[in-house]
This record gives sequence, C-alpha cells and structure tokens, in this order.
Amino acid sequence: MILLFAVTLGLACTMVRARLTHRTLKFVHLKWDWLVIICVLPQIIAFYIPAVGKAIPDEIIPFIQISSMLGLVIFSLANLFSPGFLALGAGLMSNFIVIAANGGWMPISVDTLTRMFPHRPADYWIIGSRLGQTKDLIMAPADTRLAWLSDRFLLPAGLPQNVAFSLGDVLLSIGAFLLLWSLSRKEVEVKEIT
Amino acid sequence: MSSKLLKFARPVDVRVVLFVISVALFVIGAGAPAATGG
Repeated sequence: MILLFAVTLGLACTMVRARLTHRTLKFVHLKWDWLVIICVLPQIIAFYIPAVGKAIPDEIIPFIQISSMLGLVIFSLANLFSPGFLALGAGLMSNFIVIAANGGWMPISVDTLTRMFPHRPADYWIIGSRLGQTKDLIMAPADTRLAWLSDRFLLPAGLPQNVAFSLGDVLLSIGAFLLLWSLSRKEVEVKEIT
Repeated sequence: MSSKLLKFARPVDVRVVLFVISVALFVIGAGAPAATGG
C-alpha cells in the first residue's frame, strides 16, 4: 500500500536524520488525535478485516466513508498549521470531494482496471459493482464526476502488487512524509511548532 | 524489529510511537488506493 510506504519511508528518513544530527525525535502535538481513531475504526473494520467487512452491506459503505472522512476533515482543520497538514488536508479533501460527488464511493474506470490487470478481458469488470472489499466502485467515465480526482494512476509495471491511486493519495503521501520528517527538526523549530 | 528502530533513534518517547500510529491511521482513513490481488 503506497500510503503506508510513505509513512514507513518518512519514519525511516527522520530516524536517520535524527541519528546523523544527534537529535532526539520530538513529539509534535496534534489536537484531537483521539478523533482519528474513532473515525478510522469503522473503516478498518469495513475494509481491512475481510471476515467482518463481507458481512457489511454495500449500501452502508458510503455512510461509513463519508462520516469517517468528515471527522478527519475536522481533525485536519484543527491541525492545519502543523507540519505536513496542508498537503495532508489537501489530499484528504481531494479524496473526500470525489467520493462525496460519486455517492460515497471512490470511482475507478474499466480502463484503469484493464491497465492494472492486462491479462483480464475488459468485460471481466462489471460497471456498477464494487471492486473487491475496497473503497472503489467500478464506474463508466460518463457517469463519473470529477474523474481526474479518482483512482486513475498506476505504479510502474513489474511491481509485485497492482495499485491504482488518486491525486489525493499522492498528496497524502507527501504530507505524511513531511509530518514525520518534522519529528527530527532542530529544537528551536520544534518549539515554534508546538 | 521495532525496538531496534527505537534504539536506533535514541531516546524516543512513547508518544512518538502513538503519534506515528495516528499518522498511519489518518492516511489509511483519508486515502483510497485500490489494491487487489487481481
């Protein structure tokens, strides 16, 4: 998953910087951090625990997505001036807007799926159906609102897992990296942030 | 593995670990990449 890769990379880089500059990683205080756990928990259950997620009707997924992301928008606004949050907030808003505009689902086109899985025929994908247990709904381009914000980018061919991601995901990755990078800032800079 | 990483960064606060978990949860909740086994 590209987002967790960005978190891992940001953490690794900031630890190396802390080591090289003899600094201690400093905690950046985030307001209302408990809100993240409350908001994301339903998503974890619905999207990342297959045994439970399968039991959740697809009709409920849009409600889970939108309410959960709304909470994260509030969290982002409360921390807008913390490092990385301009990019994190922009990425969140980008995904939130396109999901909200498409009935609570992240759209993905048959064209993108065909590029992701070239060995599968185009008619394998059924428009209007959910893509596995993901947040994505397969949609026709004509019915997709704000398609340029949808999952339309692919990782280079040859990697072990096929992933389609959005502009919002790119911004989130940049923001997560910047936020974690800020943990190893100079003491003076840290004091200015907190 | 994680304890080695923490040692590598020297005195790391538990709050930093919780902070990283919060960041990871945030990007999981805000992101929407589509990854399937095909």
